[in-house]
Amino acid sequence: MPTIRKHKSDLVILFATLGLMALGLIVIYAIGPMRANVLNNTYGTDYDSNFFFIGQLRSVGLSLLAFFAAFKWIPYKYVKKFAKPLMIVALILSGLLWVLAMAHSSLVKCELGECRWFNFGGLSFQPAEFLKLAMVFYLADFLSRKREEGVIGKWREFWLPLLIVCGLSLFLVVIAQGDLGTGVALIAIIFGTLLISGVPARQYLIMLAVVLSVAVGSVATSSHRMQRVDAWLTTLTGGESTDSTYHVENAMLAIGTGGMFGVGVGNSVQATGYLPESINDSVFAIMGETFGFVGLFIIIAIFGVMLLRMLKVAEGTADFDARLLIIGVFSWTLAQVVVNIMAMTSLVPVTGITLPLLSYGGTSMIFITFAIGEVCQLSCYTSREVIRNEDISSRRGVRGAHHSSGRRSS
Amino acid sequence: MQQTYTTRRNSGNSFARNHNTVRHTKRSLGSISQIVIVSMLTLIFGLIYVAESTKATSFDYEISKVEDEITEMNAKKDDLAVEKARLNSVATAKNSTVAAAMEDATVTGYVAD
Amino acid sequence: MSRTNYQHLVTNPAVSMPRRIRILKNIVLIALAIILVRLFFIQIVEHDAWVAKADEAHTLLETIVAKRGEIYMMDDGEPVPVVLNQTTYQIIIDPAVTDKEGIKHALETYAKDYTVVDLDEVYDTEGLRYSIVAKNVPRDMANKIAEENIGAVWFKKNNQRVYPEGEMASGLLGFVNSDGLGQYGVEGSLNGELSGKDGLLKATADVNKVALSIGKDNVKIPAEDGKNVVLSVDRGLQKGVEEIAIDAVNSSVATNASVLVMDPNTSEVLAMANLPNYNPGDYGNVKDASAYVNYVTEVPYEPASICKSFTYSAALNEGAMTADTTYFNEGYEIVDGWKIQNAEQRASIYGTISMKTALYWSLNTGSIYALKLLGGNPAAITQQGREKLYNYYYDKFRLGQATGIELFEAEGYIPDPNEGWGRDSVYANMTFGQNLGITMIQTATAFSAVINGGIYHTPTIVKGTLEDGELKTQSQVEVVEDQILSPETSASMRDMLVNNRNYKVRDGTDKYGYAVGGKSGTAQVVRNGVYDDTYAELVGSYIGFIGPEGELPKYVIMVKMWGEGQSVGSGDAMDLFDKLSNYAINYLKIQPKA
Repeated sequence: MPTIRKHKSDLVILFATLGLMALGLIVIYAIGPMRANVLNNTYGTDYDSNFFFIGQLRSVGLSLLAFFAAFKWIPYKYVKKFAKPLMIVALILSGLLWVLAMAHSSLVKCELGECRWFNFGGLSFQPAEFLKLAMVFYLADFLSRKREEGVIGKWREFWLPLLIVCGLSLFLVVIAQGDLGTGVALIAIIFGTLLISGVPARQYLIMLAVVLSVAVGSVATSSHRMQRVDAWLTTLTGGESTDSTYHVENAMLAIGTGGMFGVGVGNSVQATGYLPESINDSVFAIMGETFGFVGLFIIIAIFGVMLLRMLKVAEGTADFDARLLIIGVFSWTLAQVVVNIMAMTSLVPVTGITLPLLSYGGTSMIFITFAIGEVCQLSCYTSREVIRNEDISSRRGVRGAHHSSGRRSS
Repeated sequence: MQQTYTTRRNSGNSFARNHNTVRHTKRSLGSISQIVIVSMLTLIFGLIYVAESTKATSFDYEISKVEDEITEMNAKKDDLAVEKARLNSVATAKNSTVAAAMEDATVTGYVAD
Repeated sequence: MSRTNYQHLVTNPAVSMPRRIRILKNIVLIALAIILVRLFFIQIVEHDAWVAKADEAHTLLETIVAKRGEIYMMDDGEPVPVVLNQTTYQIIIDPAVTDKEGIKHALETYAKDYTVVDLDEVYDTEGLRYSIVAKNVPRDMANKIAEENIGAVWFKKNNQRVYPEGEMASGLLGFVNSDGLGQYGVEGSLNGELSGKDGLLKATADVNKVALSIGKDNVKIPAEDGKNVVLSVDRGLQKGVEEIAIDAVNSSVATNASVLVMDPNTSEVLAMANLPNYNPGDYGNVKDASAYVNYVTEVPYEPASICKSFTYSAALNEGAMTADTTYFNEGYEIVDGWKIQNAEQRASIYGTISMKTALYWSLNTGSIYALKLLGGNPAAITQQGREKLYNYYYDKFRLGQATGIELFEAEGYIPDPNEGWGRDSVYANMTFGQNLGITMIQTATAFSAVINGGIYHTPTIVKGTLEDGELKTQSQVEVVEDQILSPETSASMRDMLVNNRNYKVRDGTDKYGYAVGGKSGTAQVVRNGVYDDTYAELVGSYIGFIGPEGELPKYVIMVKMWGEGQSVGSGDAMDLFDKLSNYAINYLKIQPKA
């Protein structure tokens, strides 16, 4: 029986995570005062010019804590034991939010008509973010168990419970909270892990087609969502500006004015109120304006390398459930990054999704850094043997994080 | 599927077994903290750089505020000037030079006495 | 254990782990590649187009409105404001969504006098989403209403002219229209100085239009505020003159009166009234635009017998006559077949009388005789006489020419001495101020030269500018000082003009110790091209000077009274002059000869 010895973690993922968080903090520092001023001027609020920076600093602090807790102190196997209860708690929280929102409770914070946050005396908490994390752990546990039981692809033992849990989650997020962005991330997590779980390709594709048609149907029947699609098509084809195209147009305006090298830190004009959500959902556009094509190229490269490293770690991870977990985190990150950036560049309609590690916002950053922290922890236990055994060809490019893989015991 | 569980046990064993690899683990921790230190330094220098370049923008709002205040003060000054002019106007001042002269018109105080 | 995994996968050939991970890898690479191509397209290919679009969206192009100059008059040697600026507000509501009772209450409490609509009517109008409910609301009142925080209420800033003296001197001052353009009066003629130069702000701005220093080509050209104009007009004198003149208008058949007071030694205007006044702050509600007209400078007319002073001056100055030169008065004269009659037909003045007597009785035959003497032929009007009179009227007294005063002016006309039919009769009429068109300011300036020792000064009404509370004396006109008459001629004229008012001293109107001289003028009005001999409408004028006895006169006062279809004789004008001269003596504290 080969025993995988603990070795150094994947430094690329670690460094990318910390670097992106630092970059996000700098950008928030630069545009936070502008944001505060816009809000103060428009809504008569009284935000201090450092309000958003301090908020982000707090989020980064808590996220670092979550990251290192996941990385160093909380062994993955331990969390995995609680996968099921975590999922139940996450679903209960989302359900509770829905019920309380309908009862117009003061514990629920609503913005622009969407009630997605619990509010505990100034501290807000978004259960949808927790649900994403719980979903990753739950699927890792569920799929690996089903695989052990050898029932993958069976209707009663496999698809039915999966559909119930996933359907319920999507209902609570997309319908109850109107959070299409988290819905997209959840679907990505589900289908990402399903792909690796060993579901037969035919079933996988049928299920994908079913979900896609349901998604298209739900968009087509909702005037609110249809409006977004319409706005997207308008922007993409260069049609007349309307209120609904304003967001994307201004995002593209920010990106476009950035040019090759950007206007420089602190010189963003779009952040002075033209671009909505400039510090959270649209932060990528502001970065495009600030750092230009070169800057965005680097940011995208960092995300890309980080995602590819996650896949490498997954490939080298012997434990099946751990591998599923890594793929879940990978899918989650990929979905958020791609959908956010594509929305900003008018490649897909706007769904309201944050850019991981860079956007302003506490809950989303804390949960995703915790998840990445778990990946980093697991990256200490990779083995080249796993890959060699499976497919000799994928040996290429395996470096760095596998120093100790040559040393084999027993 | 015993195997999945053996790994856990095995990894636990490896912790216990590899007491002599503590040095190795320590070194990996050290490099992580190096990364942390480096990124924090980058962050701090970035912030200093940003603080310098955003100063202008925050001054813009200060300037705009001060300009608004100047406008307001000027409006106030105009109001006061108007108020003063009204109070001093010949139309309202009962004992103005005009009124005095008009009363005198019949008295003709300057006729050669 | 890994071998076990491997075995499992081998048993299910449809599922290959590395292949599926490769799928995910490819998704990452393809998605990021698409994004990078897209970014390249937006940031590099379309860069210029986006920059142009951003400039359009971000650039704030704003006129920095220059502050309009204030207008001052003099009072006791100090400039005092008569036209000021104030920021006021228009209150606009959206009647469909505003708090109807709230705004009603607020307007009644704070802006009752400024409310311009009936609110109930506004509320009853269906589909109305925009209504200006109050205008010219002062800043503090607008602030109080704003503090009530009523929804769907907007405040629009206006720069407004304020007139602390109310309607006083409206015809002189003019007004500023809604485009900020000065109209009529000083506001109109000195609009350039008063309005200053607007500045320009071109800057990158945030969404709330706050200018940012981020932009590369920000431009800020500051506004040059308009100059504060100080008029030579004495505020108290102006006010007194207007009050007295209004009384005079009210107690006569006249509907209008114009008064001009000037210093004959400098031709500085001290008062200029056109009555009735109008409210320049509410100029829009003036029914007849003729109310805006400054009759002193803008309307030429026939001052009639007042011009005899000019004819006499010319003949005296040419040495063609003296005050004691005599002629035979028949009571009329026939020129070019026209019979020109004297207004005064009493028997005692028929026969041989002196020119001085003729002026006293204002005999037209006297001034015609002066014209004959000017031509060198006591029996007839000659070409030489006409040319000499023209030379005096037009070239020396500058009648029929714009004087150059800092106001809108009409030129008027003096008939050509040689061109045209019936020159002799035209010039005979011109000797007593008919058949020509001259303005009051021309008349009074020429008259000043007649009595001040013979020097013509360009009239002026602007003393200078007020900069930081300090009066900077600065003439706005090209000042002409021209000795057009000999001092002796002037002395003789003063003597005759004082003689005209001898009876006024006797009846107690004029005070002892003062030299008050004057000349009346009653003009027939031309109807359908001919003089109306029914005298149904007459324009009465009077011009005179006052000063201590034996000294040069200090003030010239000219009065004109008229009314549409009204027969206003020079008697009314003279009465007004009498009151004004006495008022001026008191107000200006002219010391009599000890």
